[in-house]
Amino acid sequence: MASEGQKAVSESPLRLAIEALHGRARALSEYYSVYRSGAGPRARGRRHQRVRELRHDIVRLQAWAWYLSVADRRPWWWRALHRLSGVFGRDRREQAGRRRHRRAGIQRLSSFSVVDRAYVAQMEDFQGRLLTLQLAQQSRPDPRRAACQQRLEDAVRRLAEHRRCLAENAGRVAVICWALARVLRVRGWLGLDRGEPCVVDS
Amino acid sequence: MNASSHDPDTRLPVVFTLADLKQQLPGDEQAAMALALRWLESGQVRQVAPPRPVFIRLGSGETPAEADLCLALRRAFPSLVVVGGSALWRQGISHERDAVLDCAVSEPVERCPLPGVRLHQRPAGWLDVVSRTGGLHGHLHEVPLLSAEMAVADAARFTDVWVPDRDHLDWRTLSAERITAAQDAMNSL
Repeated sequence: MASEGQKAVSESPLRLAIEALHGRARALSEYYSVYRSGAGPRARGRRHQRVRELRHDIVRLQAWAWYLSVADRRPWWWRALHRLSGVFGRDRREQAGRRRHRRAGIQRLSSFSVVDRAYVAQMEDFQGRLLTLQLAQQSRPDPRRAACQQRLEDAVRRLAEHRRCLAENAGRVAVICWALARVLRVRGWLGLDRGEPCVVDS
Repeated sequence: MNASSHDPDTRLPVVFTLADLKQQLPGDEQAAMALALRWLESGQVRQVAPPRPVFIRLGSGETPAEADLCLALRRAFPSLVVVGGSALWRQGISHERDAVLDCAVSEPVERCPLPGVRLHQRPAGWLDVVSRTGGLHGHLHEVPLLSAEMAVADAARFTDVWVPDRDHLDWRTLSAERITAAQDAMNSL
């Protein structure tokens, strides 16, 4: 039985986006485990750099998922952050792709790109499902499969809409991810939970 | 892209994703989907692990090269690790060769129709535990291998992978202490 938190997220219009973020964070965590152990591809040269990149990306995904998951309830801190990110993020120019991080001396994705890639990965996962269904439907037609196909197509459209919104608010995403990622890190150091709102039903 | 409507585009590698295909047809997602479906219908490409959007170009009855197989699985499953007798053979601990490549993943697996490989599902957090306890050692075409001791402990814990008979293992190279530590780690899951 789903917990209250799970239920809240499942019913949210942002459910798909949150699922995409959690899914991507899980996938990156698996890569992180492999790289951290030194068994990753081309492990020797870029291992530490890749580990840091992955850790940074994972926490930004968790930060944005946290922000979205409380968007329905709009607590005071959320409203304050929303307002501040509107001010500080307005003139920020966020570009897709990697950029050099001055202090760390490594290439990092912008927060916008990290989140956008999560949405794209989820869209492609749904499209992979669509291909599997269409292939099965051609050999053995089934009305239930057609309904499922329709749901998946709707989900792809909604994620495309989330991507459009994200592109329009790239500066805001950067400010929010920056702020909440720091909160999550501090919570982690203090041994508190990382602020993940809940486990999303899959 | 006219030629590619009949044959998988030669500009695409043997292993490719839906994203790679979309890049070949910029701005036309529907065309990329239609093309992928046509190739799947014709049997010229296969979905590595349906419904994951990773594909491999494969003739009928053809077994893919081990490097292509590993790349395809790695792109479909971030948590992919070689386990059981496959890991032991590749580290020189087993005198008996595996018939198929045994791999474990933490993600849900519906099916994997690729010849020459068998996927085993592991609980979430399995890879993290294995990694934290130093249970990964080396790699096969960039897919990490379980260390010999962890491979033995994992096979004992999950009993779903092939391992050679005791007589076919080189016990001199296995550390009893490390096997105990690996077993403790596996039992914590």
